[in-house]
Amino acid sequence: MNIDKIKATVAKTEGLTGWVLRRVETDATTVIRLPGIYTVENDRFVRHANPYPREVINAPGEEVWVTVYCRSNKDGVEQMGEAQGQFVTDDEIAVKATLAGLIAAAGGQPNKPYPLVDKAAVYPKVELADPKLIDASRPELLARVQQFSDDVLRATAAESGVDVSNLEVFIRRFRTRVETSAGIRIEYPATRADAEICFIARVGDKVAEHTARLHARRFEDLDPEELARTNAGYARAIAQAGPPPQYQGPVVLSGEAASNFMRLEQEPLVFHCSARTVHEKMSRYEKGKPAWGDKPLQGDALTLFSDPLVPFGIGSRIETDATPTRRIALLEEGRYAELFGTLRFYHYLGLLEQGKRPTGYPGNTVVPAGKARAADLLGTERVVVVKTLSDFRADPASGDFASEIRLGEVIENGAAVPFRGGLLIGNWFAALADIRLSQEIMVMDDYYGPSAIRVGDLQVAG
Amino acid sequence: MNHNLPPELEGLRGFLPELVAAAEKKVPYASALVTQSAGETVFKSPADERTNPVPPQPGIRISAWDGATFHSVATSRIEDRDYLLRLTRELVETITVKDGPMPEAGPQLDKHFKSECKEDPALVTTQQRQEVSRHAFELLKGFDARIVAPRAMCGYSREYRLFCNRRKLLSSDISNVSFYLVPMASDGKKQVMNFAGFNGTGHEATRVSDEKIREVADLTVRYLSADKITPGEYRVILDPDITGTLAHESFGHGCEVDALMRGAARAALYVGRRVGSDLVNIVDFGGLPGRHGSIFFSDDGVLAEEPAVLVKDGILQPTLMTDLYSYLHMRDRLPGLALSANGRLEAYDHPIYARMTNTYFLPLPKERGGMTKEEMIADSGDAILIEQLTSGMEDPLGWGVQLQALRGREIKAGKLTGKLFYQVGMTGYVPDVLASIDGLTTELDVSSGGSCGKGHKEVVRVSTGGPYVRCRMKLG
Repeated sequence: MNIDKIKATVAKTEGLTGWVLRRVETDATTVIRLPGIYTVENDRFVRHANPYPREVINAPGEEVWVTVYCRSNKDGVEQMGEAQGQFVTDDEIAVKATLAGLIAAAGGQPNKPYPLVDKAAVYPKVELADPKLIDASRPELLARVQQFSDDVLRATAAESGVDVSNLEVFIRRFRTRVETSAGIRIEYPATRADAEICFIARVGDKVAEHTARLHARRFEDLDPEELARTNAGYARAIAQAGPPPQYQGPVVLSGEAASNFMRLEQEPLVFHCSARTVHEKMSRYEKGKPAWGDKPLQGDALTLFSDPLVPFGIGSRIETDATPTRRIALLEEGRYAELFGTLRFYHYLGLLEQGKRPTGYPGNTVVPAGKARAADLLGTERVVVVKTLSDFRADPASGDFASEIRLGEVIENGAAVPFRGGLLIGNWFAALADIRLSQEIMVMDDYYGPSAIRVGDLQVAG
Repeated sequence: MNHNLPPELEGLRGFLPELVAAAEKKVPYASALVTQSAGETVFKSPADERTNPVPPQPGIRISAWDGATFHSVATSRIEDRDYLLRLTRELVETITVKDGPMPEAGPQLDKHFKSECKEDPALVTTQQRQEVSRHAFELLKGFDARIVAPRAMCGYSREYRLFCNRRKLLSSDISNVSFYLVPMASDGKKQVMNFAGFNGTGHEATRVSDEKIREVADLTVRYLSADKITPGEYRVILDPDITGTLAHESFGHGCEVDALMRGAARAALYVGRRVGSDLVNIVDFGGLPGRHGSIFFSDDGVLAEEPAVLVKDGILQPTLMTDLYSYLHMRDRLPGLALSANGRLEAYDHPIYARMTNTYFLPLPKERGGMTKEEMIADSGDAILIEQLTSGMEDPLGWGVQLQALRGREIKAGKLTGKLFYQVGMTGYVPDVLASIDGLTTELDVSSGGSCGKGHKEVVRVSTGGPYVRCRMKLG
């Protein structure tokens, strides 16, 4: 589609207070492999090698989106609305029809007016594209994906009792161009390399599968040896694990579970530190107030950043609806600090008028290292270590969670007894009153922070 | 013939056979799938009212089979036919055909399908949808001062699909109307959230009585003083959506044949064996009319005419859910395997997998002991009635199941006590849970609107349901 032609039509459309036009050119390569096909013979799974991929998908495309803003006066009251739509052709008549629908949708919205991003906006420089991927030819990309998957299979073959049961690799390349009614024009490339790999372990008559979900912007950040070793180990341990205990007391969240517990996508801070939620009076946010509640603080006071500026971070971004992004501390020493938000809700809360710049959507989760060695977090008493959870989600409003444990260990007198199943139960905010963070740091997806977190009091329901 | 498709799709429909023929000059089997959406959503909260059209997100996927692998090209540029022909030729030119199983194109068929409804959502104006949302919002907001952030969403989506192979040319126009209420309440210390969804194919799904909306608001306020359940094993009565999700997470995912062929479904070892009490009958049926997970044909072009019976009278059946790739590789290895209408994809540029549609427990006829909900409560002694699913997670290899619901209601001596538990997690070992089923009600209710991922991605719309089911589970 000719974006200049679309832009010309948008720019001369009457009834618009402002607009943001976005074109994203995409080019995706997907390879799915099923290295073995299993049948059942004499009540046992039998593996047959399958050398050919299940599917190879090549997907070139482009999308053109527009957000329109319409300001109006109804019964003497100024109001404003916005609507977003997609153009599927640059034909002027079709573009006008799409715009007419959007204006009708935006025009009836009785929201308080708010400002739009102006031309003085300064955009951060953030590396979002792997130079080795962004300009590679499609055959080169396919060869790299093939090499990566071969490396994973080779590394897994060295792991006792573990096979890869499914392997999916996705490479995506984006070239984004954003233009606004204020005269802003920015362009930037981005890449993603994602993989989902299922490791299946058979130890005697015990069997378990563990799925690794890997997300990066650079291929080199996906290490086949490391991911095979770690995840094959998880699969083996899950296969051999026993039933869960009934337990209440300190729990150490390790590796993937630590990341799950802290990631903005999965914990409730993103709800309570949103300017929108504060405006709606649903948030417990109060600047400077302890997030852990009324109890006396034991252990470390959590500092947590939303940082969209981490080089090659998968949660990194330059803008949200043309608003420049920035790094903010949501919690400082355990106390509420800044808020996420767009221009609109920053304006509603009076933050713009205090000189604060809006942040856009959340970025990567960054937690500074703690003081304790991960090994010391185990302590000397009986303790539960949780390594992976099925699907950790804390209720956004209350912070309560009850998540199934995929792999854990009970450590007592120096001996570790692995278990699987059972629910890890607690409240995210209450947990902050007594946490200790490891000095060792990990990077997993968009989480950059301690690789082990000891929570003073959680429950495991076996 | 006019099929009432958008003009660009009407034209493309007639062009698809040309694309398939171009591909089949080089490969033994090719197909084309086109998807496009339409619709509108209206969202109302205290801070915001938004109206947005559903983006069309058009796309086409052309797939070629080489005897072992599907090679596909997918693009959003559906309007440029020369480009599509070029992509098709480029796709097949490097393919080397192997000696492997070959798909059948099926009988000759040129057919269009359309959802039936009482009130066509396409004829409903934006203003009418705004009024529905605003009315519900005002009712929720005015119910109690502690309801601080009511949200109401009224929307409809229209899903167009075209499928073509050398014999079949199929198209469908499926509408889904959703009306969601999400009130949040706060007493200054505690925040709670409620959720209620109403789904259908027509605007009539939004005709929810004021009484019902007030009931949703009342429950929200009551959550503020609700207790937490003491962890442990309980006798439970699951509402139809949770019942269906138990089916979905237990022998739904476990009977997706692509999970089985990668050795990741223990169900493979249990075909023909007992996996639950003889009250357990689980089916998946995309052809069930007008449900949120309903389809007319799969993305492999298989008509949704027959339910896949997964568990019959407690015995796991060999009629698994298949996609074309898995079927081709497994048909000679699994006697009785059929190609079912379960091959589905999230979007045109994603892979097709074996996926569920509408998955449900069959109710129990009265003559076999089926009860009404009230009879079941009265018959249950001490139990917990669990309602309003929020999520579920499968483990088809370990046979663990994890479900989350918004509330539990205490039953003592066969009577509801009025005591409420907020946010209840349910777990169990699937064979134990299914073996413990000792009561079902007589009515089938498949009215939920949900979505399901393969792991954490490849999300497709699904519905779950059944009767009320009584069993034992661990709660927390």
